[in-house]
Amino acid sequence: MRNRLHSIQSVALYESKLLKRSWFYRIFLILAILSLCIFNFVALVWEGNSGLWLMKAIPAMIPYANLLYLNTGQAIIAVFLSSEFLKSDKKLDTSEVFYVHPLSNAEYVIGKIWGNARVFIQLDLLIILLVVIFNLISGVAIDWMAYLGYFLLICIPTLIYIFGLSVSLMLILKSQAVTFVVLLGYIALTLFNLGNKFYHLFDYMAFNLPLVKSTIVGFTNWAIVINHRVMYLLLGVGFICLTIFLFRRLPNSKKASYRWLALSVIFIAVGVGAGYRHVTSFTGAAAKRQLYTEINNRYVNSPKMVVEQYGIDLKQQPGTIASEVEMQGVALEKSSRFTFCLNPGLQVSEVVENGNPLPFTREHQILLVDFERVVEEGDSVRFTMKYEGRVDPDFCYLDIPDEFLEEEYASQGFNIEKEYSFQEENYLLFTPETYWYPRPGTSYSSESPDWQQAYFSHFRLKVTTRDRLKALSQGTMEGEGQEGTGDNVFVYETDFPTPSITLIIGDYEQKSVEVDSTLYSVWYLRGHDYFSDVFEPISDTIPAQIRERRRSLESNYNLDYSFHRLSLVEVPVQFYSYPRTWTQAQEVMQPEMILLPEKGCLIENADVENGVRNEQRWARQRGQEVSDEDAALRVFNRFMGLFQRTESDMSWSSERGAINVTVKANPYFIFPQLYNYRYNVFSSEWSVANRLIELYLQDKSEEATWIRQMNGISNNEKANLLMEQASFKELLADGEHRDLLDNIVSLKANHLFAYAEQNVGYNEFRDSLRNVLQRNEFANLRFESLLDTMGALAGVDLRSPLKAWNYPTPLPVYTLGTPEVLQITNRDQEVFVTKLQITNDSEYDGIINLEIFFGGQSLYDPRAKRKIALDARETKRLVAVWDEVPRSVNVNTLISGNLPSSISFPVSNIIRERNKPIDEEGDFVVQNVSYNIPGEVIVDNEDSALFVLSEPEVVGLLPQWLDQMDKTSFDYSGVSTWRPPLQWTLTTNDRYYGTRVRSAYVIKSGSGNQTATWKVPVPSSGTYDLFYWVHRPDDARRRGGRGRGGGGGARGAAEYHFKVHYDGGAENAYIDLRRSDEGWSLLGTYLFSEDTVQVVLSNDCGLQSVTADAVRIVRR
Amino acid sequence: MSISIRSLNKIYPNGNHALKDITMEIPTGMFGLLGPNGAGKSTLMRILVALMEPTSGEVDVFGYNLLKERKEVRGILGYLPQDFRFFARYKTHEFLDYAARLAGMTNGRQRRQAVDEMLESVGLFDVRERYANRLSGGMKRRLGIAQALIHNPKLIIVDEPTTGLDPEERIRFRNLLAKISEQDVTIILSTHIVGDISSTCNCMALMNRGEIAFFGSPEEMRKEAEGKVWRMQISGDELHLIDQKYPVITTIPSGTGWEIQVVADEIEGYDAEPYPPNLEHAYVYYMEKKLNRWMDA
Repeated sequence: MRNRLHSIQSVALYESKLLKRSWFYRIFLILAILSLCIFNFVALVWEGNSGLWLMKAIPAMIPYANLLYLNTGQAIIAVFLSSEFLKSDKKLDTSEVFYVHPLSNAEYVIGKIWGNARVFIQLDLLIILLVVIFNLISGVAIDWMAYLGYFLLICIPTLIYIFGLSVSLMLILKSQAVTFVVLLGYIALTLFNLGNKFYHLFDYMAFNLPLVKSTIVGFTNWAIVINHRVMYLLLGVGFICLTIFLFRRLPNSKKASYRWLALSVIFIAVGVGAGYRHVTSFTGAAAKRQLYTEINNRYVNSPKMVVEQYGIDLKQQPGTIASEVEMQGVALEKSSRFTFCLNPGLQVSEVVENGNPLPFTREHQILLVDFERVVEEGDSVRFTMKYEGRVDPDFCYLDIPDEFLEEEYASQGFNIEKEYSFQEENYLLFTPETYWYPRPGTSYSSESPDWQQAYFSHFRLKVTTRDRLKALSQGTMEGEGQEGTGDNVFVYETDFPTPSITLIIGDYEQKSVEVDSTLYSVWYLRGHDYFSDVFEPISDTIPAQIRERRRSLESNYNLDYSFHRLSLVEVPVQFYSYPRTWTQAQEVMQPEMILLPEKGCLIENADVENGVRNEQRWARQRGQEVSDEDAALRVFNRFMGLFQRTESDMSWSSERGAINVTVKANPYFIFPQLYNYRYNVFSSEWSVANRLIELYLQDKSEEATWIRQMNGISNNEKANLLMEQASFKELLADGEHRDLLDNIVSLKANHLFAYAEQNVGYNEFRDSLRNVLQRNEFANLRFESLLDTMGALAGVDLRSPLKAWNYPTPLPVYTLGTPEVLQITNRDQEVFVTKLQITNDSEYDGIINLEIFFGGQSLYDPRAKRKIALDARETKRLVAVWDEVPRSVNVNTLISGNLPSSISFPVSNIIRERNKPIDEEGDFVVQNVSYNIPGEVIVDNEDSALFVLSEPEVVGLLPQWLDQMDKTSFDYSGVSTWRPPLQWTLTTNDRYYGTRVRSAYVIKSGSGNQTATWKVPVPSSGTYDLFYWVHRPDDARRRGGRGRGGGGGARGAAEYHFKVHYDGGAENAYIDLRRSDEGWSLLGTYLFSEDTVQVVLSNDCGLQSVTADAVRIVRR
Repeated sequence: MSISIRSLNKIYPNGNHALKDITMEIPTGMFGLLGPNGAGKSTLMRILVALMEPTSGEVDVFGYNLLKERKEVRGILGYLPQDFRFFARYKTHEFLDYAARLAGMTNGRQRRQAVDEMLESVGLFDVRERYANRLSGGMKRRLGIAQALIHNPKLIIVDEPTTGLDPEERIRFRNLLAKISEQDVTIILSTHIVGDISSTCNCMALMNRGEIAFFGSPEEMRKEAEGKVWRMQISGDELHLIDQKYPVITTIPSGTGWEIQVVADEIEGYDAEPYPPNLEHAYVYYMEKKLNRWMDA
């Protein structure tokens, strides 16, 4: 044995020497050290950084990030180096002198691999040492276990696996070049394609495996992670055994050689087994979830009772809970057996009524309590239930489709495990989603929305925690921590009826401030107070800030925040919540509580210390001074903005150069605190009834125009196209368009209430809706009866439009005229008149939203934001008189086939008139409308007969094929201003010309070899003005613009170059985009004979892109 | 006997029958294996050092069965391969140290001492820090023999060690081998250079086309050619004709023509006198007369 080790050591020693002497390795070493030093310096030491809060907030992130990057690098380098050693053996005759020695093949191969591996391990240790130094300098606590853990989990299995794989593959394929190609292809595949597929099964370098370690609970997915890493370790060892078997040197004994083959088979088989276990652990969970949903479906309509009063007595045990719950329930219908739902991981031991045990049956989550007598509807019973166990997290989020559950939860490229509850020895978190106490009825059912009814109850919760941990829940706490048994006891009693409560246990500390008898607290885990010092200078101003924010929120949504306290509670970073289709409230939002990831690590504005530094730095750069107070105040306000935003950060994705921007709902948007825990609108037929009301009240604006421009279409427009194809009901059931559901629901809500709003007024209608809600506080309000009440109020039938929700929605289309604005001055009176003509060009009745914006804050005017109904084929002329200058007129065609559906007309030309009668105000129906002016001809790019584009320059087979693959059902693409398309690309924009579809073709500027041609028929010979529709791209708005560097055309850079072909000749014409206004711009005046004139626009331009839109001739 | 080979055959996958039923007993001491390129010498060598498996046959090495007890055989082996030129990036002393370690020298101090002594004895001590691939051809060959000897093996197998060396280096190398063979070891020296064998071996085999053509002492081989070597004086024109007729071994210009030595059973039509053969003459005689291989050799 000693000899064997000595042989292995010897081979390894000299193998390492070789590796260390290779230039390849040395370059990698230098690059690795250099890049990681720069990375750590920027992330941890440099004061000017931003965007790296996660790295500092969680100490374990420092070793994680470094080892993740290093490991990826060395996993690739190792392929080159490890296959090198066999290649060199083949080439170098001198290695044969080593083969004739008595060492075994195994000793030789193991020695070689160990020799290579240990060089990398030494490199890893060196890097770790460097990182520790940076870690020390940064002042972030050092998580030694994380250093060790990540090293063992990430680096070791990766190295063993990739060495084993590459050397055995090298022996099988017998060609270094082929091996490289195969392996590099494999690495690319695992990194870019398979990384997160099959639950990260193929992620051998642990690049995508969720491995972020919480400071509070550490890793929560130990079993899965270790199984995954052991799988690769075993496969690696298996491949090494295979290499020993395949090694091209006669073995010392044949038998020994086959022993290695057998070992290899065993290791690889066990490795594959571990992989199988990995996948089944997820598919098993999916099967379980399926089962739970089916059971819910079965019981969703069974008799229920609403629990008026809960008395929960819960004891925290290591890893489990034991609970006794006293319930006072009122039967919702006559029955002897009632249905409750409790997490299937919790085992019920007894149900007792007045000291008599009641029979009960349990089917997974369902608990059926038999009262052994008929309980009449409205009768109340009081009984007690005992249960114990560990919550099964797979029971959570049964409504979320598997593909969403599998989606990565990542921040800054680091994948985080998703957890829905925690049950560690020193930390516990149960949201209502876990059903940690028995709740009436069932949880999610895919068949009936009946389960969604909210049952408002009064809760008294007594918690006995372990190790003096603190328990948090909703309501008022009675006398803190009665010392006695060594554990602490906490009793909470809710102040209002509440649909559900939350339980959090941990080593929490509290910082709070009372403002207007509401207690605002931050609950943080011991040692996590990194913010108090920063906000110390503004501690006096904070209450005023909070008061002001609360006031603005309450008035914004005209809803009250009625709880006595609001707590920000720090929870482990793995805690994840999903947006729901039926409510705004995610699980991070609990009554009077907002759960934030530890230290707010995923929220960049939570890096308050750095925030203050940055404020001061920016001020210095501007040559200003900012006081500590001001800086802290700005940082405080930026952080608080988190709760007011409806959308969270944007996420960017890119597919074949086209960039897509998606904006996700902000889970921390505080709206649910104002609405959801008091009101619940419910319908047995429409699962989204509550969401409909929520979205209507929020009245969200459309996404930013630049996002629409990049994506090529807005979510509302997508929603319209979907609604035209499928009924609302089908779309609700369809999981595929889940991301558009909010848009669909919001459009439906707006449309449903549009006529009522038109009759009563925008704000007035909303006010009455709120009044109805408030009358139904803490109760289920039937959607249908809400509609009846509201309909009666507005004199509109709101119930019957619901029938149409079972059918696809026909889309009306509208033609919009250009708004006119007149300034009429009569003596000392000055008014502004807006006139706008809109035609419904379809066979379907429709309704649009008109909004007029004025400069600055103006008083509320119901006319400024209103709905206008347009019946089929109807044209209305909308005339209004204002005291202020209108700045822009915005039309949203809501449910329509118009593209874009939201159009903004900035008011640029105001016609001034004196001493003239003021127009009569009103919406006038106009007959026989024409938008055409006599003698005018317009040719738009949508006019396929009269508009022609040049052929694209290079069309290879591959690009053609890719284009075919890329064809979507939607004809209009997004266009990025900083990366214009290389071919004529059709896109829409409200600044383009068009009637229903405002579209144009855009191309990157070039040498003039790409053209667009308008063939304009001239009705009769004569003198004509020729106009072109100008849309000024961003770079034409900037002064100076941006030249194309060198080839900027003979004439000035920002010009469109036209050739006008008529009467057998051609003339050049130019438009300077920096000087001309948007809209029709004169190209010139020509004498045309009765013929077709061709106007040709070339892509020779100094701007980044050229837009081909519309041409107009007007007879003089 | 140190090595006994019985009915050894090697057929390569491409059908080349490289060793044909070879049977011989190799005694202790220096043994020479002579033969033209492609005779099967290297194949035999590689089988003897357990780098290659024979197709059939038995080999005993110092009582160990080569096919079954490879580890034991490898334990007593030193090997210098034919083309000992391309090195990994090791220094001279490292290369030797590596070999010593693999040969089982676990004691660091002893090993370092052995390495230094060996470097001294092959005259490489001064270049011990130089990378092995920067050594001259002769130095490399000496390093090769040093690594083969470092662990005092009982059997040393040297394949074509003098190819490509200048005469001075070649003589030095032969002397080195001769010195080693004085100890109680068996050295198998494979070569196609007759001089390597005549000066050092007491026993030899001549291989041709995978077979043993001659086995015995060099002296016995030389004797087989007695009376078959002739010396004659010819003109320049005649040389061309004779060259086509007989194997010409040496041509020395003399006055108006050439003095040449040829191998033949008898000479007709020319004035020739018998010449005492040396081993080289014997080798040519064998190749030409017994094996008819002169022309294609």
